[in-house]
Amino acid sequence: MAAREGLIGTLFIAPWLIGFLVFSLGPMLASLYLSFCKYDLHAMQWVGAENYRRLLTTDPLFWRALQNTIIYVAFSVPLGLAGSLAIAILLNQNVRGQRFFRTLFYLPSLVPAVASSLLWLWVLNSENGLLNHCLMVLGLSHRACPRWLEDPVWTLPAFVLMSLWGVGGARMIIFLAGLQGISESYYEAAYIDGASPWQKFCYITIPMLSPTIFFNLILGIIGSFQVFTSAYIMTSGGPGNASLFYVLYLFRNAFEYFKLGKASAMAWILFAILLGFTVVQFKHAKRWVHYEAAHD
Amino acid sequence: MIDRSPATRGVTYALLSLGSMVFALPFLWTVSTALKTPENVFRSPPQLIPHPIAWSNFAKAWTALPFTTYVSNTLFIAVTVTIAQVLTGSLVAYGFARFRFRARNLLFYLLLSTMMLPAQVTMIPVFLIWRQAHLIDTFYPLILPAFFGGSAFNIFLLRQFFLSLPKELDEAALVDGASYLRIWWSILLPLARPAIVAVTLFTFLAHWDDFMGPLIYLNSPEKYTVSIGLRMFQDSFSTNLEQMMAAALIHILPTILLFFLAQRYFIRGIALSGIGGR
Amino acid sequence: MRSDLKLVLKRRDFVLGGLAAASLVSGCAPRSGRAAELRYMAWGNPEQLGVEQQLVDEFNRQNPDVHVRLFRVPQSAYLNKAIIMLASRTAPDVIRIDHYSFPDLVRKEYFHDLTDLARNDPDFHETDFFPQALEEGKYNGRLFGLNVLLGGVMMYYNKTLMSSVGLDDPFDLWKQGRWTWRRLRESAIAMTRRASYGRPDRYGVQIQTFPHNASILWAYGGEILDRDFRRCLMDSPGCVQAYQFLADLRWNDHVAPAPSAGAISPFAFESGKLGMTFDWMGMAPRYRKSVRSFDWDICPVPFGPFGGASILKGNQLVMYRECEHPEEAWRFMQFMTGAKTEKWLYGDALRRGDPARKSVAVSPEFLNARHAPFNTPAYVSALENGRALPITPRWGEWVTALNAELDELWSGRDRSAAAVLSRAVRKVDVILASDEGF
Repeated sequence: MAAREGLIGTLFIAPWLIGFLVFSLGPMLASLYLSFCKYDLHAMQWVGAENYRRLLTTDPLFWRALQNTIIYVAFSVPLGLAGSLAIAILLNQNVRGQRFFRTLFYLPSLVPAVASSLLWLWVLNSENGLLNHCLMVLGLSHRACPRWLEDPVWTLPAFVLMSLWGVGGARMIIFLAGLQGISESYYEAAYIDGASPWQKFCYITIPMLSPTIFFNLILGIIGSFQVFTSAYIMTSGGPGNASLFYVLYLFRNAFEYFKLGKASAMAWILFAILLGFTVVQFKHAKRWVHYEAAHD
Repeated sequence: MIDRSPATRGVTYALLSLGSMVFALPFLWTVSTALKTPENVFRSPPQLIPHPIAWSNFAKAWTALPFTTYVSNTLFIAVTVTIAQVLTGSLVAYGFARFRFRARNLLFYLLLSTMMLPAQVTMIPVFLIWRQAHLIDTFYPLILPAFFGGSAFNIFLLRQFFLSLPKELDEAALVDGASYLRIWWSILLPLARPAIVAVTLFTFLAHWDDFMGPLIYLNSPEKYTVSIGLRMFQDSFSTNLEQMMAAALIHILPTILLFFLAQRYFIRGIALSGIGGR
Repeated sequence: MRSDLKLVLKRRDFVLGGLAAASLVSGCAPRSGRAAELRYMAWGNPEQLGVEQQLVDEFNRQNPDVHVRLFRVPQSAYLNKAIIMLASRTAPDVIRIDHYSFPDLVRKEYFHDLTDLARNDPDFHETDFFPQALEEGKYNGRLFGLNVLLGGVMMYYNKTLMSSVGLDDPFDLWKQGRWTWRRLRESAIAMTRRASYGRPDRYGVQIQTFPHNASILWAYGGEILDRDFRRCLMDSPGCVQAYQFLADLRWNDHVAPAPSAGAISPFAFESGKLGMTFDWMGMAPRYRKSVRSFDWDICPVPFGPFGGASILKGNQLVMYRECEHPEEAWRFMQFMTGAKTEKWLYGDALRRGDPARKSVAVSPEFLNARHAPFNTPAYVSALENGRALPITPRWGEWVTALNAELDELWSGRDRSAAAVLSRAVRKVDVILASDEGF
């Protein structure tokens, strides 16, 4: 009976298993192999670790792309998490019109990537865009307004800003649900003990939400690292490679220069970075992520 | 954390109002631009409410490129994928949730780990596979993966939901002589409606939005999707800003509409995904 | 049951018999090669593709034994799609390839050798063509591509604006040999106007990136690459002087608008707020349609101390190596590059660019203009004095690196052309010297 159950179970998951082998495992191994070759859709040649060596030692764009992406992630993920949490806390205050506000905050995250890129291209326009107009209304002179996507220094901040437009999205809803799940009794006990709101926040809210924060942190970093569409549409990596993100450079090597071996090597380096980071986070998590006793 | 003092409430309202206004601004700006006549687009200082209002920009944008074709292509892909995803995803989730077999846990962790796999690691060989099969420039590369369970995230979501349904239901049906498939179709699926709706919405949106897939796999313009169409618009008509904003709105509106129609399920689905099994 | 079967059989026999009769009657048409199907790929905005479709329809009409289908791909993804299709053996039969990519692709043996087809064609005469036009399509002495959309960069100017500020017509000046870069600068200064709150609402000139602005390098005696394409020579005094001049137009004289991200700028030529701009000849049809509020015309690039050569570059119409109907495809290619088509495309009707045939360049259909641009000798001057860009197989790579560095100059971060160019040259040299494929 158990054996039969096992067989049927395997049959049910078979679609995923087949898909995994054909679309995940197989290609992963293939791209590992490809990363040791030189291939331009025309001729393939084994070159050993040359792709990796050149990427790491003689390709300045590789380091630039990595640097740009790390800066982007380092700012957009924490700020995004903080923003989502802040909005969730505000919405959790049991104010009237919660649904209305929640909707308004959620809408930007629904905007498709290409449309959002074009929209922000116009918002960030240094001569006539919304952002600089608002800055000038607030008192900045025209000369002092940043030139955003035309200025290598302000390009990354522009992309980080753009990424923050979606903080009211799914992540915020998850935080909100998490907040609503925190038992009121904790807060009452703290109130009786004379805790300040800030202390309540640090010692009750954050620990209770820590699994959610952890989950969002990991997925957030993995997702942000793959930023592509906005840079592809808005700046093509410019000006002067200021917005050359890692995946954009990878895509360019794969589908514009057709250096498929090099692109595969880049993909594996990315995987190693993300894997390493995730493992470190999981180890580190024991220190700050708190799981409630009655779970699962 | 709920502090009922009027001061806090006032501050909260103020922050919420300010915040939501800031978030809505880029949106309003786009709508405003989309309704301006070409001469007014670059007026400095800008008019917030366009005058005169050029509704014709939408029609012009729609006909400048074959958006009807793009929309129908995108709908075809999104609907097919969604149906396939729901069906096969729930089948796989059923397998993981209700059956015990060797290596089940190992395989499930494998499934979870693929959620963290960056797409680029498999992107090139998958492309080469489709090229070998002569299926570049067809919809197959975009649709077929959904028939194999689809996104790991959706499988995970459904599996967590199935786990929360009491096993007694299954057992009762088995005693009545129902086949496993029957149990899946007639008992679990209907009960899992919130999760199913959430998966449907997420999948549909993800594919309405998809850019890299169509970018890599579709060559003939008759097959383009709306996101590629919008990119083409930028290619050819970037100087007609008002039309470009109108075209962007054409891309955005259906997702907003869908959200308003299914808001309740959306929110519930996200909450499920975030809380399920943490 | 049996009676139904009988009825079914009877009906089927009738249908079969009818089919047999019909095929006998129509059997006169040859079975194989009823109409050779060819696919033709070209880029363009919807209007330009409309023109291509018209040509294709006309060819199909004149050649009932061939059916050509136009395959449209948007500009930004064109090269990428072409390469994928060539490499996955699903390429169309006839493809237009930008000459920037031709040297790279032709050596990968993707294209059909046209030399014999050309030799056996009584209507094809090499002497008909401008030498450079034909040379572009050759590789190792064999012919692989026929030139289409030949052209160069020239200057478009706002006649109404220039005369309103009292400037002489640049084309007249050019004919007298007096339209120099210095003169251009003075004109730009005269045309730039600042509005009341200090920001310019009208600019004199737009400067371009490389390779559009290559002509100023030549005008000041500079070169791009050395003769063997092994070293970049853009840090020479001539090049430095040329690019410093351009950068100063923007950052010293403030007569050229700053680059705008995504090409969203209120100072497009059509808006009337820009006096002069440099662009490819292919822009003329577009300006014909979009410029409504002022008179405009064209003028060759200005003279510098070392002359005033424009760029001359074409695009190649190639045949896919594994085309199943090479004879028919050649016929189509001949039609698309024939004298009649060239007169229509490049003459006053459409003004898409320069013809590759000498006979067309002197024909009245080409030289006489009833709509702007009227200064047709500008087109001819590019043909006679144009220079080729040093397009190497790795053009895409090193030009991207060059432009990324030059961005610093055009965006004003580093206002010294000498410094920027010396860094750029070093980067380009690294690429030129390195192994390919990495």
